Amino acid sequence: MVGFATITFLGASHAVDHPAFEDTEGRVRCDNYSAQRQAFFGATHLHTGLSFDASIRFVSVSSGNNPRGAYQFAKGESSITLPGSTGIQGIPADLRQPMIDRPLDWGAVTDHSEHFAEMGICKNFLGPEARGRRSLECRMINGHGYMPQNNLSNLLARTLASNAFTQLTMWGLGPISRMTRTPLCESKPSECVQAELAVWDEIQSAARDEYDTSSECSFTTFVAYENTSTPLGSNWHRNVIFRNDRVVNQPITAIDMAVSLNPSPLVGGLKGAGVAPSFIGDFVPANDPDVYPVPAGSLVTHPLPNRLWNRLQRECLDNENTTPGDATRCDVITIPHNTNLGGAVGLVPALFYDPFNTADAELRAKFEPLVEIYQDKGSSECRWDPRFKSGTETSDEFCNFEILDSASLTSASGVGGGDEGSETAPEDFDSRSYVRNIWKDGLELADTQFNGVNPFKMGVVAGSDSHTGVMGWHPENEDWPGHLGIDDLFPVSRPSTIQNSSGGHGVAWAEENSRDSIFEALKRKETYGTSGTRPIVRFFGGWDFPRKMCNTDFVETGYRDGVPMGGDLPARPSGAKPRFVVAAWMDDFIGTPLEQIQIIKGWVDKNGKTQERVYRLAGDPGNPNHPERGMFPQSCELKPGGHEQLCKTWEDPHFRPEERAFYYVRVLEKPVCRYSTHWCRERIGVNPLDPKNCQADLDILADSSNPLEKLRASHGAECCSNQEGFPYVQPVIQERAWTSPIWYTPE
Amino acid sequence: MLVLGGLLFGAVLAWNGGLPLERQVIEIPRSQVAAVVDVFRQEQGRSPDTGELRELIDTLVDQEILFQYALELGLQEDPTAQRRLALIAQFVAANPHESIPQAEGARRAEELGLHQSDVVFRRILADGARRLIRAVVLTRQPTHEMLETYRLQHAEEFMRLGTSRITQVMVNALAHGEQSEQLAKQLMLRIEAEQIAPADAIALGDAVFIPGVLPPLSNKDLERRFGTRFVAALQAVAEDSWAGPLRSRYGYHVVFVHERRAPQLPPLAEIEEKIRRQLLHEAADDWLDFRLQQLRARYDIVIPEIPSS
Repeated sequence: MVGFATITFLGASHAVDHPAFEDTEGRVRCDNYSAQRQAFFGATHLHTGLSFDASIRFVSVSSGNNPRGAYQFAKGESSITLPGSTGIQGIPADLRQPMIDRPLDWGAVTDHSEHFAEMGICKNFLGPEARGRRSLECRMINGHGYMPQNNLSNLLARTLASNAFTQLTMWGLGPISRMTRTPLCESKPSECVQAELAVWDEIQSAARDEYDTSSECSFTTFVAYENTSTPLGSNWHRNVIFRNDRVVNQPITAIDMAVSLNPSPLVGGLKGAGVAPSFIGDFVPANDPDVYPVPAGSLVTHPLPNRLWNRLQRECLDNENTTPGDATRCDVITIPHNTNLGGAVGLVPALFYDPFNTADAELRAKFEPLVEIYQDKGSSECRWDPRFKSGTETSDEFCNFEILDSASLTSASGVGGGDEGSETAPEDFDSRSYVRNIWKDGLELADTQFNGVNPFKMGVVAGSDSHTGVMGWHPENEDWPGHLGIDDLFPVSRPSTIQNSSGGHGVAWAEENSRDSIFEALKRKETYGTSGTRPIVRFFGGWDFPRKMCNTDFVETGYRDGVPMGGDLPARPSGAKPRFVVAAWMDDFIGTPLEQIQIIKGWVDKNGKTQERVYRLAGDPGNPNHPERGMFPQSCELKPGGHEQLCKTWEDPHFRPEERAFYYVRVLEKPVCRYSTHWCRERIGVNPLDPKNCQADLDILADSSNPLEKLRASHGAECCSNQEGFPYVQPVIQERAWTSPIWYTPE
Repeated sequence: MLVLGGLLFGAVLAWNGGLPLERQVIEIPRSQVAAVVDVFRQEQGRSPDTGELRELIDTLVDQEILFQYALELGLQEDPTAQRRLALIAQFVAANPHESIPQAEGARRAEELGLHQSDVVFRRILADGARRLIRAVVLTRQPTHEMLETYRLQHAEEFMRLGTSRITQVMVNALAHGEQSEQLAKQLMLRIEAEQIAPADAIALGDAVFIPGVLPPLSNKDLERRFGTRFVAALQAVAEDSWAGPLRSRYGYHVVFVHERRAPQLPPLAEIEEKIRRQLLHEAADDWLDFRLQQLRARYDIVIPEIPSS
C-alpha cells in the first residue's frame, strides 16, 4: 500500500464569493481561481508601431503592429508583421511574420507617451487633412516614404532611423531630454492635444477589447504607457501601469516633469548676433529642495520624477482627473527599467538617486514596488566582467550574464554612432547601475537617513522592451527577429544589435488571471522575472519553518507561517534565525534542466558597510566562466545532467539580528546556446562555438566573389564575438530566474 | 449588406425626410487630391492604384459632405468652433494685439470666408457631424433579439475554450525522487484493482500544490498548473476512466477524467455587454456609411481627372 502524507488543501478553487483581493472591477470571478495562487506569466514592457522609435524603424501601425495586434499576438490568435526584406540571405518570410510559441497570460503595452501627439497626427488618428500631417516630424516618423522591403538597404534604413531618432528626441532640447515638445507640437498645440488623446483612447480601447472578462480569464490586459524621461541621454524610464479601466485622462509624460518648461523653441533666439537663444532656460540654484534631485547648475528644464508621482497621486489615486471607467477607483504603479543604462552621468543623478528626505523616500517606495531586472537591453541585476576579472561592487561570477559594454542608452540603442564603443571597466559603472547594489544601498539609507524607510525596497519583474510588438515571445534560437525593427533585421551584424538579448517574463503569483488579482500581486511584490523561459519558482521565508519542508505542502505552510517572495519577515521570535524554503521546477516546454538554485543575501554590517553573499542551496556548482563547456560545440546540444526540480530548506548560518538584510533567489538553468549563436550557425554559416575557425569562415564569405556571400558576411559581422573581447557576447548562456527579495528588518 | 443601423432603429425614413429640394455642387480641388496622393506615396512608397485612388477621393468627398452638413446643422455655433474662428480672426486682424470678443471674432472670420478654408475648423465641424450621425445609433439600446442574432452570427468570435474536469492523485517528485514513477504505477494498479472512487482516491496521494478535485479548466489553465507534458498526455485519456501515471512538472499523477466539454458559445447573459458594445459600434459605422450615401445624393460632385500613377 502506498502511504502518503495527506494534507488538506487550503481554500476553494472556484465559485469564490470573497476573493483575496479588492474587487474594483465588479467582474465575474475566474474558473482558474486558486487561493494558493498560480504563476501567471506576463509582460510589463512592450512597444508597438505606436512608439515613435519603432515607427522610425519601419514597424508599421497600419500593418497591425499596434496594441491590439500585440495583444492578439500574445494570445496566440494571430501573427504580427515586422519590417524588413524577406526571401534573401536565408531569412524566410515567416521570420518577419512570427507567431508566439505559446500564449501568454497577461500583458501591458507600454508605448512611449512623449510622442503620442506626433504619432496621432502622423498615423492619421486625426485624418489625412491634419495640418501637421505634412511636417518634417511626420516625414521622419513615416520613414520618409521609404519601404524597406522594396528599395531600402539595411544600412540606409538604419541611418534614416538613427537621424530621425536624434531629431525627434533632440538631446538637449527635445521631449524626452529637456522637456520641450517638438516644433510640430509647439506650433500646433491644440491639434497635438487632440492627437495625443486619440492615441491614448486607442490604447485604452485595445486593452478593453482584448481583456477576457468572462469566467474563462484567458488573458488580462492593462492600460499602460512608458514615461520616457531621458535627461541628457540618461535612462530614467518608467512604465506606468494602471490597475483597471479608470485611468488618468491624459498621460503624465516626461514633458510634464520639467522643473519648469522650456520656453518654446519657436520664440526667441533670433535676437541678433551673439545673443543666446532664450529657450535654453535658467539654471537650478544651489540647495533648492523644491527641485531635488536636479543638481545645482543644471538647466531647470531637467525632469523631476516627483512631479510624475505627485500627479499620479492627485489625478489617479485621489481620483481628481480620471476617465469615467467602470471600476470603483484608479490605482497605479510605476516600474523603472534599465538601471544598467541609468547610472549617474555628468550632472544627471542615477535613476536611483538618494531621496531628498523621508517623505521623498516614502513617495518612491509607494509608487515603485517593482524594478525591471532584465530585458532586451541586458541584465540589471549585477555586473561581473570576466575580461577585467572584476565586478561592480561584486565578486559574483554569475553576474557575467547579458552585460552591456556601455552605460549609455544611445550606444545600447545603436543611435548617433553608438556602435563605436569599447569595453568599460566594471569600476567605471556607477554602483547604482545594478539592482543588487541599489537594494544594498536601500538598507543603508533606511538605517542612516530616512528613519527606517527603505526607498529601494522593490521586487522584480523581467521584461522585453521589444519595439516589434512581439509581446511575451523570447525565443533563444534563430527565430529571434531582433527587438528594434529594421535596425535588428540582422541582429548579429553590429555590436549594438548582437548585445541585445531576447528579453524575459514578469511572473505574478496571483489567485486568478484578472486585473485586480494580478495588480495586487505586483503591488505586494509576489513576483519573479525570467530571462525568457518559464520555470516555476516558489520562495517563502519565516522563523519557525520545519527544518525539512520540501516533501511537505510547503506552500500552505509558507503562506500560513511565513511570507512569500516580496514580503517582510514578521517580528522575530527571540533567538530565532530566518529559515527559507525554495523550490524550482524546470520549464518542461523548453526542456532545459535546472543547474542550481541560489540565495543571495545583502546586508549592512555592524560598521555600516553593505555586504553580499551568494549561497548555493541545491544542484550543481556550474562553471560561470565557461558555460560553453556544458554544450556539445558542434551541435549546440546540452550535455547530460541537470535537474527537473530542485528544493531546499535553508537557514541563514550568518544571521545577525541587528543587521538589516534581504534575501532573493536566483535559479540557473543548464547552459544553452544563445540566440545569436543559433543565428550565426543557421543563417550566416559560421560557428561562434568554434572560435578558431569562426573568423576565418567569416573572412572567406567576405572575400567571396559571390555578392550574396559578401552580404552574408556583412550581416553576420559580429558572429565571432565572445566573452573575451569587444563586444561582450556569451555564445552560451545560462537562462535564469530572479525572485523578489524577502526583507528582514531588526526590531 | 443591409444598413444595420438604419434597419435596427427605424431611422431611415426620419432622416430621408430632411432632404433639401435644391441640389448643390461639391467640387474637390485638384490640389487636395494631389496632397492626399502625396501622403499616400510617403506612407506606402508607391502611387495608389485606381481603387486606392478612388478610396482617397471618396474620403475627401465624405469630409466635404460632412462639413457642409455640419454647417446646415449649425455646428459652427458650437463653443469649440467659435473659439477656433475667433482665433483665426485674430491671426488676420489689422492689429493682432487687439482684444476681440469671441463672438465678434467668429463673426468676422465667417464674413471673410475663413471658415471655408481653415482645416482645423473644417475638421471640428466634420467630426461633429460624424459624431452626431453615429450618436443616433450609439444612444439606442438594441433589443434582446438583436443581441442574440449578433451572438449567433459571430459565434466563432465569442466561442469559449473547451475544458476538462479531472480528479488527480499526485506523487510528489520532491518527496519521493526516483521512486515517484514506480509509486505512481502501484497507485494506479491499486485504484483500478479496488475500483476506488475518485473522491476516495485523492487521500492516497500527496496533497501538495494542486487540489485533487479541479473545476472544469481549459488546456491553458491545466498547463499552468501541471506543465506541458501533462496536458499533452491528458488528451489521450478517455472520459469517465482512470489513467496514468501521467508525468507533470511536479511528479506523477493518476488521473480520472470526469468530463470534457467541447468549445462552446456562451449564453448571451455572460457576454451581453461585449456584444452590445460591438454591435452598436458596427451599427453606428454602417449607419454613418448609409447616411453619407444619402447625403451624396444631394450633391453634384465634381472630381478632377487625375492619372492613377
